[in-house]
Amino acid sequence: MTASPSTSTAPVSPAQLGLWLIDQLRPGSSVYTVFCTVRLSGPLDPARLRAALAAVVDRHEALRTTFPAYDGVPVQRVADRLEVPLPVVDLTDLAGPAGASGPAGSDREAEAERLARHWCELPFDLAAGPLLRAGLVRLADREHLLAVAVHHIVCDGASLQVLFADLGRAYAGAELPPPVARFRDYVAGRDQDPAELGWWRDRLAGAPDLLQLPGDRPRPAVRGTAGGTRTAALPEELLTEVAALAARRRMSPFMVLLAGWGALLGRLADVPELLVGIPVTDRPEPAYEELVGLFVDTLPVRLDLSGRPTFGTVLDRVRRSVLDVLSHRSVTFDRLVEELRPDRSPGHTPLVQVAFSADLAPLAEPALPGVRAEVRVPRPDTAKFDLDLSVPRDADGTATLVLTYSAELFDPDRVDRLLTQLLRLLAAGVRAPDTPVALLPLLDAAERDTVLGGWAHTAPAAPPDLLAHELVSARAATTPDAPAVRSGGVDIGYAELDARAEEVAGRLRAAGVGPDDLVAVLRHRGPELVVAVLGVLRAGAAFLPLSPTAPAGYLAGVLAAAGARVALADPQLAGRLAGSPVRVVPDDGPWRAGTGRAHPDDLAYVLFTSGSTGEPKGVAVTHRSLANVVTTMRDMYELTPADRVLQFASIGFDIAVEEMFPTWAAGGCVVLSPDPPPGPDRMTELITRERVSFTILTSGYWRQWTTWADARGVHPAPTLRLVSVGAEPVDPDALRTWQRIARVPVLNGYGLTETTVNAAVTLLPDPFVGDLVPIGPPLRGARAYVLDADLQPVPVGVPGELHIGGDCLARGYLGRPDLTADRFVPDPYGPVPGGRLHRTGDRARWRSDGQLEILGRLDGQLKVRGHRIEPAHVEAALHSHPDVAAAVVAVRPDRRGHDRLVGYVVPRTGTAVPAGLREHLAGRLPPYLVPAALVGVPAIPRNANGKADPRALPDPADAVPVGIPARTALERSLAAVWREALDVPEPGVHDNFFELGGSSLTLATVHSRLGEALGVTVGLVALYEHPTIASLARHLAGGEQEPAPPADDRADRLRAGRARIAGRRRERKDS
Amino acid sequence: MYTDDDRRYVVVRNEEEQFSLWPADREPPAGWAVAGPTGTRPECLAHIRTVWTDLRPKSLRDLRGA
Repeated sequence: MTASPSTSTAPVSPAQLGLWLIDQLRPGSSVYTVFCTVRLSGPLDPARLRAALAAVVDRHEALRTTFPAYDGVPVQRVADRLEVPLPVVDLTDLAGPAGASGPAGSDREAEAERLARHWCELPFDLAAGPLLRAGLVRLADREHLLAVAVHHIVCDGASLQVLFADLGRAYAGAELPPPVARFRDYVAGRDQDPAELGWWRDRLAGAPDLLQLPGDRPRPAVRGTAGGTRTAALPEELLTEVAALAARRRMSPFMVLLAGWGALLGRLADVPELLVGIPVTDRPEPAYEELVGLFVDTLPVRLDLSGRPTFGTVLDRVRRSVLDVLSHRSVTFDRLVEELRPDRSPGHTPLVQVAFSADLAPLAEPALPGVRAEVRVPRPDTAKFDLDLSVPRDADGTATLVLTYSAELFDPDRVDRLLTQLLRLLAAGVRAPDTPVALLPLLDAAERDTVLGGWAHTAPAAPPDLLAHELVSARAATTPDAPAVRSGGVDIGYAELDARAEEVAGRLRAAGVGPDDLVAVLRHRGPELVVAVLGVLRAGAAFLPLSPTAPAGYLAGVLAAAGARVALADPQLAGRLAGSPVRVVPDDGPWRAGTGRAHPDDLAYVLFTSGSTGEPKGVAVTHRSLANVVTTMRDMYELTPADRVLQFASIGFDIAVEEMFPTWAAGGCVVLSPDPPPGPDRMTELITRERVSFTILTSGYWRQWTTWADARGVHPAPTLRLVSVGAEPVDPDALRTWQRIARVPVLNGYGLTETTVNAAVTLLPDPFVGDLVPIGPPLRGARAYVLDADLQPVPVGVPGELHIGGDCLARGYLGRPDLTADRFVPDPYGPVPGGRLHRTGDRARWRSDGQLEILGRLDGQLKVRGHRIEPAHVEAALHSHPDVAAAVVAVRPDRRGHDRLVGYVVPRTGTAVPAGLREHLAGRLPPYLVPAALVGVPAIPRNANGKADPRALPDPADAVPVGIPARTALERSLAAVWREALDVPEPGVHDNFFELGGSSLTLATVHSRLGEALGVTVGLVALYEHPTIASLARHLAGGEQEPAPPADDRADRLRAGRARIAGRRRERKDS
Repeated sequence: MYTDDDRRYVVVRNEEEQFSLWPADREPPAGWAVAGPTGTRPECLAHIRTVWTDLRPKSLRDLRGA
């Protein structure tokens, strides 16, 4: 390569290389265009302005620089002369269109703005240049608009000041002196000090490289640059207080604002520390001060919010961190990324996703003699980061919060809320720095009223005039012959049901059973089970259902924990209770009449569920909350005597309660499922045969049933008028399928045994749009709050723990006062003093329409390399593949000891991972959620309580073999390119490019080489997305013919190319 | 959300003599009063295990005359 006589070349700076790489990823994007307009009022001579611009370009070699690349490596090429045109567009003839209401002048203004925007958004060609663009719009004789756009690779904010200062001087007729320094000298002087890199390595060790802020949409697999900007005035009074506090604590206002910003981000993301990028200008010599060029870089500030600090403590930490960063500013961002090897997913910017800058000095206007100039910096509509907050100060001294956001992640109203939250938190923190950051307010009074008032509580509970079983007796009196229960084709009328229940109640009374006593019920599905449940309630006692299939040891444990003394059992099951102190009441024993009515605060039932530790706990539910939910669900489901409702759930599951009592309260018929209940492939038959009109199913069963019906092209349930699904998250794809094939309305219910069946139920819109199916507002009688760890309400759209209170709460856990006290906490917001809230353990958030969304379990979250992962999210994506029958994810270390996400799948046939599953996931999940390894297993191992047992899953190292050499011609070609670029002898096909030491520059080299070696053009983004040889080969094979193996002399040419690059790198170091 | 919970709590009780915990550095909400020691979450829960022997609300216990 030889430079033409009029040009010279020089190496690029690391920051320039970073911007060049970004341009390779998104050629011509205007994200990194530095742009402003200058309104010029007064007599202006365009020819003189053009000459002045030429003089400025002559003076600053950065403005004459372009970036051609050789073998994937860019250089700076500086032209001795470069002509930058200054087109003039005259709008003075532009008239307002006929009928337009505004004056012609406003059309001109709009057109001028449009032109300026257009000039700004035109792509820059880094290889060809020029990288400065200017245009002048003539609005009137003495009114002009000058637009100036420069690619960031040759300019920064301070450079714009230099540019304008020189433009003014040249326009005034002054001769611009030649610069005392050149940008290339600056580049040559910036050698990376290994000691500095070491400092950064220590400083950022273990730092989280992805900040997951609550957003409106999931992160895309490949991030784009669509963005927007929202602003809020920083009140003068607050700015004064910030400055005063900064002065008192010997820090800059910048640091105070950064502390507020970091504290807000930490609160919203619920993380103890985070990285924020700040612009750091490094003009190490005074000579560089008057130079145009890229002297600014972004460096990460590590903000430590751990240990419940006060705002003042955070201020001190921020001050220390910023000073540290400034004293180690010679290291560039891209070098840091190469060194630290953070997650390189193309779905987010590496290392930092949020930036902060505060330029409290206003941008200086160019001084043109006789002309008044007013600079305007437009608000960006492209996003460099997820969130980029800057605090510019206008000429009049007012400061503004300018927040540029990724439109892929955030909606404008959320961004507006962020700005008001920042102002609120900042004001409180600045006024009371001793307040813990966790307690600084984020919500204003109106928001608090909304989330703690109207949204939290929709309607009071129904008074418990009649208890659940009394509603059945009431029906027996009014419609004695109407069918109450149907089983095996036989109907049982209300009067008969009531009479049989009273028989059981009498025998229990004779056995000494009374209010608040517990009666174990061990019966198979069938009328006798239903009668037993009603009989226990009529006796004033509470029923404790036992599963006929549970091991005898488990039953004994439950009976002991519950302290039950009396049981009702099928004769063939009674033997399973032998050895426990419980007495089985015989069907033909003594009978005693009685009227002992239960109190609403007496227990109605106790259900044992397995806790997260696997230890069973008995949830004790009262008549008050049962009565409330029974009438509430009757009304919500609009049940009538005509309804036939399937009793499908096991009696040990409180859905069974919801199936029976609301139906009886409405006078409808409960259709008992056969024993055993049908699988999803037999459900349609059962429902059709029994003319079932309403059913309640778990989301998982319903999804399988929907899939089954869809695959066969049949209507799943022609007789159904309504279906309610819940107990697990509802799969939105299954919902859409159901809505397409069934058109039967679907309700989504949310509740825990502790909140008595349901706390929220909502009718889902048809067609359903979205990724997350909401659970609705709380039911009447229930109160729902989304709270942080301090039991403070979190803002709308921000995750917190769902807390449920009101008249739906269980009494507690039987015999477990400690567990009860732990999970039922004081309600600071209820209308009645002394109320309690159940901590559900579910992560939830409010939608802006007052509906709740469940995001997953708090205790189920996995962490992989600092990324918070909700297993249910990944498992749902695995389930959505048609060949996956079951799936579970776990975190396992890879062979280097790094944690990684492993997906275990049970295929519908065989045990091999279904073909195309990885691609299926990649299309639905951001890369950090796609399991690093997929393992086919014959079944998901489960523990005694039926929960997936990750410890029993096989080691994924067996499944993803290490160091597999290239197997196909294509893989061998790719491996050859890797070997050269990475200097590793034998890269395995599953080895990650970046983990083998690859950097963005080596990736650019690979990019260029692949073109040579394979004769195919591979997008740089594709290389980020497919960081292993195997996945890249699959990707290439999918779209392209598999290329012929490279000719024999290719390897030699590759080696030669490698040597060329190595040589050039040395040159750079030497120069 | 009680992740990373190394804070200090205090045992509190309401008029129904139901027990729970509350962050020690803040006033208990209306209707709740301090009714036991301050300590870690497990320490407070251990205390509650010994003093809260009947989970029924006080009004119901009074009604039943127990």
